[in-house]
Amino acid sequence: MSGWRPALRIAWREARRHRGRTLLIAALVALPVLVGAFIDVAVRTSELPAEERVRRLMGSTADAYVEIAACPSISEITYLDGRPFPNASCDQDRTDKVDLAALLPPGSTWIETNGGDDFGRLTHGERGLRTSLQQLDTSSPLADGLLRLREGRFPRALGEVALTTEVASALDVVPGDVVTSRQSGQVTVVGVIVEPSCLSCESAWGMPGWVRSPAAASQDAEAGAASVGKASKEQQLYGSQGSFLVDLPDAVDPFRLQHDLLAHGVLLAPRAQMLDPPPPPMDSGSAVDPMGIAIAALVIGFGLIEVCLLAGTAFAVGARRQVRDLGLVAAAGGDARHVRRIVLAQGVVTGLIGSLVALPLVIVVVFLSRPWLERVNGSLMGPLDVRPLELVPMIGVGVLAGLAAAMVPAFTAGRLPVLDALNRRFKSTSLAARWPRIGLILFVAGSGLAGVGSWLWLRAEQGYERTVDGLSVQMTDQMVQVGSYSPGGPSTTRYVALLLTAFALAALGLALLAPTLVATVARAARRLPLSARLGLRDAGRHRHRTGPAVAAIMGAVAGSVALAFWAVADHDFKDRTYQWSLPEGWAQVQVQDSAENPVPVAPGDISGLARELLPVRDVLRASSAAVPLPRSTTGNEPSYSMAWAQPAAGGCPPPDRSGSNGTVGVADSATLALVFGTVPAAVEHGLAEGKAVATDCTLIGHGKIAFLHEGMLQDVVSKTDMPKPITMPAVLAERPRYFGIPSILLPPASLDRFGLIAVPGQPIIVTTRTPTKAEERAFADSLADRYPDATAWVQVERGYQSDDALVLAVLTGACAFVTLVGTAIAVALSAAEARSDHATLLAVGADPRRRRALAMAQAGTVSLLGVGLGVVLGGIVGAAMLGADINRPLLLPWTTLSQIVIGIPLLGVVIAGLCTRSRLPMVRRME
Amino acid sequence: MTRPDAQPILRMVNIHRTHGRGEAAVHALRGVSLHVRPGELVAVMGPSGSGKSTLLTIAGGLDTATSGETFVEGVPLGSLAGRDLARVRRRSVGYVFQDLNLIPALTAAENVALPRELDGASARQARREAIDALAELGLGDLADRFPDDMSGGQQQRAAIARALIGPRRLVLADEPTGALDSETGEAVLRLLRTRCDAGAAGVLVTHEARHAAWADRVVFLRDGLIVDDTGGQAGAESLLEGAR
Repeated sequence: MSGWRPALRIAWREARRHRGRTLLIAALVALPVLVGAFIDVAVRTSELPAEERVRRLMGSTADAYVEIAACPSISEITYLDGRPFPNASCDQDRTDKVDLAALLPPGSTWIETNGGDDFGRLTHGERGLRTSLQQLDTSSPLADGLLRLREGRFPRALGEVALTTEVASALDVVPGDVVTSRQSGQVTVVGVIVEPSCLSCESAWGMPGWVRSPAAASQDAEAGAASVGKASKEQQLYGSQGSFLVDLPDAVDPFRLQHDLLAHGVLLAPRAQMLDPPPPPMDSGSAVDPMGIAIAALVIGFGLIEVCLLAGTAFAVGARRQVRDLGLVAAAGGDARHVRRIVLAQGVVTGLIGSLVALPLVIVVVFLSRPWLERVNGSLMGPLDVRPLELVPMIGVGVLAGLAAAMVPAFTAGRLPVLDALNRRFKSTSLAARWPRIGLILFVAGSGLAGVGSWLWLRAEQGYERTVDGLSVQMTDQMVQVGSYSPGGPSTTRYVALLLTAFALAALGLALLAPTLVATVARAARRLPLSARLGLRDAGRHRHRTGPAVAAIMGAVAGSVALAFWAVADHDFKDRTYQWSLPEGWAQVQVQDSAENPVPVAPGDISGLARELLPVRDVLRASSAAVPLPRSTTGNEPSYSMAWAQPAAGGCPPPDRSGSNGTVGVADSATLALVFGTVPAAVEHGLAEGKAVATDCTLIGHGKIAFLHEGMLQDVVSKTDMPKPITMPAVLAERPRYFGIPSILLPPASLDRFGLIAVPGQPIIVTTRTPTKAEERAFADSLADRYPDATAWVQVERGYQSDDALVLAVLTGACAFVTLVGTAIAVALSAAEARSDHATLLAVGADPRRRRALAMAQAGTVSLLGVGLGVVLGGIVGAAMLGADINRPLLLPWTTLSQIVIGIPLLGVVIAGLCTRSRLPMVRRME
Repeated sequence: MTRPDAQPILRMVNIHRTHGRGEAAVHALRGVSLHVRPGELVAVMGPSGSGKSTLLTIAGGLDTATSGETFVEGVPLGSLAGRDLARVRRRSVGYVFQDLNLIPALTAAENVALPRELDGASARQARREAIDALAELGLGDLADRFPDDMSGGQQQRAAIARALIGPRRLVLADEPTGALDSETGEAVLRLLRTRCDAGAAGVLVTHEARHAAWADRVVFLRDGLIVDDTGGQAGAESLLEGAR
C-alpha cells in the first residue's frame, strides 16, 4: 500500500488540475456503470412489490379473490407468478351456474371483475375504434385500485363510460364527450383511465349492464331493474370462469372458507395468501438460454472494450504530458512499478469519479424516463426501487474500466528509460517495433482461421442435411401431425467458438497494426495541401492517441458492418423462401365465432362492402376436401379436419427445404375460378375423366397424386403405423404455390369414395392492386361491424415484410456515434497538445482559419482510417459467417457500406469544422 | 570538509559512453575516471557537448556506460537490475536538475518525502523527515505549498532537501543555479557546500567559474575526456587516471 499512496495522491491532484480530461475519461468510464445501473434500477422498479401486485389483481380493500372453476370441484389451489389457479381435472366441464350468495357467508358483498368478453366499435364523429367493452362496478369500494384514473372520474351509473388513454386518444375524446356503440347506444365519457398492467389496452369500462342488446336493455327497463349493483336472482347465478372480489364479514376465517368452497369448484384466495403465496409445486422452469447469455456477454464485453479504447486515448495523452513528472519519480528512486502505479491510479481515480457521478444520475434518469419505460413495458411500474447492495458493485465496474483504460499507457510509461522520460524523448522500443509484425501475424492468422472455420462449419451443415429423412411424425396427446421434417442442424458450438477466436485474433491484429498504419498513411502526406499534410503528420507523430481512437472506431464499424452483411443476406433468404399465402395484394377474410370456429361467410355477403373500400376485381372462395369428425361433447373442437397433400414419389424435387405440402380442395366452379381464373382445357378434360388436378409438380408423380386425412390416423402410435396415402390419377396444371390456395383439386364426384366432404372456405378478395394500410384497416373495421358477435379480420398478402431497414439504421447510427466520439476525442486532445504549434503558425503568418482546417484534416484522417479498417474486419466477419450458411448468400450491404464509408467520415469532418474555433492561440512556445 | 582517508562514495573507473553506431556514433565520454569522497564537493566544468551531463547521469545510474564501471558506496551499478538501481537512487544518490525538479501535483513536503515513501516508510514518518529537512534549509513554513506557489530558489532548495533526505550521501547537481538569479544561486550553492561539509559528497555541473569556486576540486571535461583536475585530493594517480 505504501507504493500506492503517493501514486493515488498524485492521481487525485492531477485529476483536479486537468478537469477537462478527467471529466472526459470519467464520462466514458461512467457509460457502462450508467447502463448497468439503469438496467438494474429499471428492472427492479418494474418488478412489482407484493402489495402492488395484489392491488392490481384484487383492488385495495377486498378480502378475497374468487373464481368459479371450469370443473365442478377443485382438488387444490396452486400459485404461479403470484396468481392462483385451480388444480382440477374432470371428465366434463361444469354446465350448472353457481349461486354465490348461497356459498358465501351472510353479509358478504362482491363485485364481478370479468364481466363479459364483449367487443364493439365505438364511434365519435368520423372516428371509430373497435374496443373491448368491460363491465365493472367502479362505484363499489371493492373496485378501488383495479384501474387508475387519469382524467375525470369513474362511471357511477349506466350511460357513463370511462375509456383507456389509447381509446380516448384514437377517438379524440375528453370527459364530457359522447361516444356511440351498437351495444350501448350513446354513452357519456366521464373519465380517462389506464389499466395498470396493460397500458396499451384499448377498452371501455362502464357499470354492469351497460353492454347489452337493445332488446335486453328495454326488457330490463320494463322490469325496473335499473338499480346498479343489485342484480336479480337470476343475475346472481354465475357460470364458469367468472371472477369476483369479495368483502367477507370480519368473523369469517377465509382459509376455512377456501377449503369449504373447493368441493363446489370455487376458488377463493384470501388477500394474505395472495400477498405471500406458497411456492409452485415444481420449478416452472425459468429456462436459461446459453446462447442469449453468450450474446449478452459478447455485447457487454465489446462495449467495455470500446470504452477502454476511447478512454485509453485520453490516458495516453495524459501519460505523455506527465512524462517528465514520471521521470522525476524514477530519478527520486521510483522503479517501473511506481511509475505504472501513478498512471494506473489515475485510472482508479477517474473510474471512481465516473461511477460516483453515474449512480445518482441513474436514479434521475430512471425517474425521468419512467413514462417511456412504462410504455415499453406495457404496464405501470412500481415505486422506485434502488438497491444499494446491487449498485455498489457497479462502482467496481467503473473502477475496473478506468484501470483497463489506463493499462497500456501505464505499462508504456513504465518501460520508458528514466533519461528519456526526463528529457521527454519518446524513442521506439524494441517491443514497440515488434508490435506491427505481431499485429500482421495475428491478423493473417485470424483471417485464415475464420476461413477455415467457415469451411468446416459449411461442410458439417451440408453433411448433416444428407442424412435426414423426408418424412416424420410428431405425436402429441391430441393429434398426429404429418409433414416434411425440418432438421435443426449439427451442433455448432465448436464452430462458433472457432470463429469467435478467429475474429478476436484478427481484430487484435488490426488494433496492433493501427498505429503503424497511421504512420504509413502519414508518410504519404508530402503531396497534400498544408492543412491535410499537418493533420496527417500530427496523426502519425502522435500514434499514442490516434492509434487507440482508430482502433475504437474500427471495432464499432466492424460490428455494424458484420451485422449489416448478415441482415442483408437474411433478408434475401427470407424474401426468397417466404411462403406466399395468396398472390400479392389479395386479401383473406376470416370470421370466427367465440369458440374460434369459422363462421360461414359467402363471397356475396361481403362483396358489396369490399368493393366500397378495396380495389376489388372479384370475391371468391375455395372449397376444401375434409373429413367430418364427431363433434365432442365440449363443442369446442372443429367438426371436420382438412385433408392435406403428400409429396409424390417421382415428383419434381421441392424448390426449397421449407414449405407445406398444400391443402386438398374440391374442383367446384368457385375453386377453379380462384385457382385458374380461366380454366385450362387440360384441366377440364382431366376432371371430366375423374382425375384430380395438381398445381405443384412436387405433388404429382407417375401421373398420380397422394393425400392423407386425419381420419386415417386415429390408430397411429408410431411411425411404423403410418397408413399409406390415398392415391389417384391426376393431371398437372402448374401454378405458383400459395399455401392459402389448394394445391390439389379433387373432382366433386370422387369425394364420397374417400369419405370426404366439401367445406366452403372463407372469402378471398382478388384485388386489382395492393390495398393501402388505411384501406385494409377501414375494411377490417367495417367487417367487424358487419359481424359484431364474431371476430372478423382481413389479411392482405404483402409479401415478406421486415424491419431490416430499422435495424440497419440503428447499426449505422451506433457506428456513427462511436466514430464521432472517437474522432472528437482525438481531435480535441490534439488541439490541447498542439497549442504551441498553433502559436508558431500564428507567428509565421498563418490564417486563423488554418486551425479549423487542421482539425477537419485530423478528423478525416482518424475517421477514415478507423472506418476503413472496420469495413475490412467487418467484411471478414460477415463473409465467414455467411460462408458457413447454406441458405444465406454473401451479398454486399451497399447502402450501409456507403453510409458508413462516406457519410460518417464526412459528418465527422463537418462537425470538427463547426466545433473548432478559428482563432489561433497566442501562448508561450515552450511549455 | 573532505576526509582523504575515507572511501570514495562515488567511484567511476574508465567510463566510456557512446551514442549510436558506426559513422553516426557520438562518444560522449571517453575513458573518464572520477572519485568523490565524503565531505567533498567536485565541480565539473566544460563547454557544451563535453559530456558533463552524461557523466552525471551515469554517476547516478540514470544511464548506463558503454564500458567501465561506476561504484556508489562500493556497489557496482553496472551489475544492478532496474529495481536495484532504483533502490540505489532512493537510498544513496540524490539528483538536483536545472529546473522543473519538483512534481507539480505534490507539495514541497511530499516532494521531499517521495524517496522515503517509495522506500516503504510510513507516510507520517516520511513527512516528519521531510519537514525536518525543509526546516534545516529554511523552508519549514513552505512544507504544504505546491511548487507553483514557490519561487525558483525555494524550489531548488526543496530539491536539494529531497536529494539528501534519508541515508543519501551523494548529491548530483546538474546546473542547479542555471534558472536562478545570482543571489539565489549563491544561496543554493552555499547550502550545497554546507551539506558537503556535514559529510555528504557532491558533484556539481556548472558553466560558471564563480560557482565552481564553491567546490573543493574542479574537473574539466572536453570532448568526453577529463583534461584537467584541480585541487583537493587530486594526486598523481588521479591525474593519470583522468588523462587515460
